[in-house]
Amino acid sequence: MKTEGIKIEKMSPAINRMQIFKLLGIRYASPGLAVIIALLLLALLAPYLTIYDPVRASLSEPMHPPSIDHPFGTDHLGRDLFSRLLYGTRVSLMVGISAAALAVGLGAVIGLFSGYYGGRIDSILMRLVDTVYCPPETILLMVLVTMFTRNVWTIILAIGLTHWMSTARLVRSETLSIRQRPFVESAVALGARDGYILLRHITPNLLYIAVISVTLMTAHAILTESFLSFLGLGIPPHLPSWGNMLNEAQRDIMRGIWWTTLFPGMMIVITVLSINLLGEDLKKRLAPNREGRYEL
Amino acid sequence: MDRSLASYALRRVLQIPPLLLGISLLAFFIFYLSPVNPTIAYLGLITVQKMTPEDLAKVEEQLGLDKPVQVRYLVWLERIVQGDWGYSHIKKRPVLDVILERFPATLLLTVTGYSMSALLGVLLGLLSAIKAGSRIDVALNGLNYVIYSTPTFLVALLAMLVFAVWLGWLPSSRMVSVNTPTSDWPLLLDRIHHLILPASVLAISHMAVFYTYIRSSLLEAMQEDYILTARAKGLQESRVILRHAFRNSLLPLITQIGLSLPLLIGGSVVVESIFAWPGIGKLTYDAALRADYMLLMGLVLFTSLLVILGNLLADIAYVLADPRVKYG
Repeated sequence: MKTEGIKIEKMSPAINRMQIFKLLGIRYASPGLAVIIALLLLALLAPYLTIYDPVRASLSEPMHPPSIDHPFGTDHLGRDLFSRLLYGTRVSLMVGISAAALAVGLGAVIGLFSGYYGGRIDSILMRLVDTVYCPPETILLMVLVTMFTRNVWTIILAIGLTHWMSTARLVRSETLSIRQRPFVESAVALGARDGYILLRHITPNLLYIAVISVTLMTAHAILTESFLSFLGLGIPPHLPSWGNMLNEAQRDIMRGIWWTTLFPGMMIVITVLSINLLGEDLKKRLAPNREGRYEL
Repeated sequence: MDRSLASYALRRVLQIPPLLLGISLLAFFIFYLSPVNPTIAYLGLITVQKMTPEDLAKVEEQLGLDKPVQVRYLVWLERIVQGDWGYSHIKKRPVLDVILERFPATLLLTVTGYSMSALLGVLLGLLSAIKAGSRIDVALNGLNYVIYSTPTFLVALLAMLVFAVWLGWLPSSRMVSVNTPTSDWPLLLDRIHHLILPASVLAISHMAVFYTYIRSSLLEAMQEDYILTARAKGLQESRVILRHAFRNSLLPLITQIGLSLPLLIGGSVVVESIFAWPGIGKLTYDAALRADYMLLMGLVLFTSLLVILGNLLADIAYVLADPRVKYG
């Protein structure tokens, strides 16, 4: 069964697996991507890059300013900030990427169903989107993490469950337009079932949205995690995360101690900025003609 | 007000009840599905620990905990509609009273911060669009990206470090000084003095939305035919930009303001917590830290209502401001 007549690539900015590899590979390097790869390496190689244990206190040397021994100084318990930052990279990237994947995955499934089946399913799901959009996300998140037990997994779940709506709307409208196209119509005429059409004809044409959304959402999720941890409502305090470090740095501020705030803060900004830049790059390359905005 | 506008407003208002129902279901089921013990939520942990098992059983019966879930929801909903939002343990007062008492402080902070943010963002966006492609534009765009990627709390911490600790120009917390001035003018000055830092932090971290928006919509408007016409008439370039392009690109900003209301309330949680500003953001933080569940539920409901109301007002204001919009 060949459908030679329709060139999908020409009609929509669809991508196949090869193109994703090319994009993430060497041929199109993006400055954002370079920084992200460096951060991933830092996270993976953390134990080999520092001699200090990130959680072991050394009460004899608290609040050391940056020096040769401790390039980023030490905190109030004498823990080495540099190694805490390295291990914090692990936590932040892990939470950010997982939460983004969860949010986009959930949003994509809901958007697909809503756009493909239409009718009552669509209107119920879209009312759900409107409803979850109403409470400010920070407040909803704070309520969720307070009421349920708090660990790394529930934080990921809470961020994922409060950020799927934008993807759902985007995927829904895109699905609506794709299912009107002739190739879907011909698949229906040939007797293809819903599941087959969704999987073979619609999802591949939406992959580029997923790639862009996951990237931009990761940046947002890292910000959200750091915000929750900063308030003391996020990652449990025994794990070094950038937000936790800033939470502890709060009391140092009034004593004019700047390094405990500046370095974790810089890590957040550098990470989020480079992920956002990568997202913008991907947007330009995968969807050059799309006017639609990727709001989070 | 003409009839079509009135009917549009009415239709728009009619969209709200299903949303309210949705939010009440959302709030109730978060609470219902969570492992939180309802008796503790209603009475507080300390009170429950002091009670005898018989009293506890009596309370559970009164709360209707033995009833099926749909009955519990309806009972709860009835109380919410009647204005009984439960009792806050950390404040020792009814939830709705506490929220309403704290709300004006938040309103003051967010309205000030947001106005500053809009002013700053629109002016810089305008500058960037006029000088598109220039060094100023590139620098502003880059700065905008960095701010967009910086968490609000970091801006707040750094601002506090520089202006309150190092330079000592501005107070770092609270809404008024410890020795509050009694006469009118010094009191007002004291308020403003305390407002500057938190409002500026809010303004800077929300500026990016306005900047990006104005810049791109202005650049788009400059491609329109009516700009060509205006130039062909021989109008000055400044007049072409300000009177023709800029005014048109301001309109959709109304919707933008409505849409970013939830973000703004979120931002106020951070800023209020850091600067100990006694508004509903700080209240949410305190309630979360000390597990005051009834207060948290009340805050979810209250802020959701604010967002719904804000979007409604923005939609109606947009139709009022732009006569070309077809109602509906």
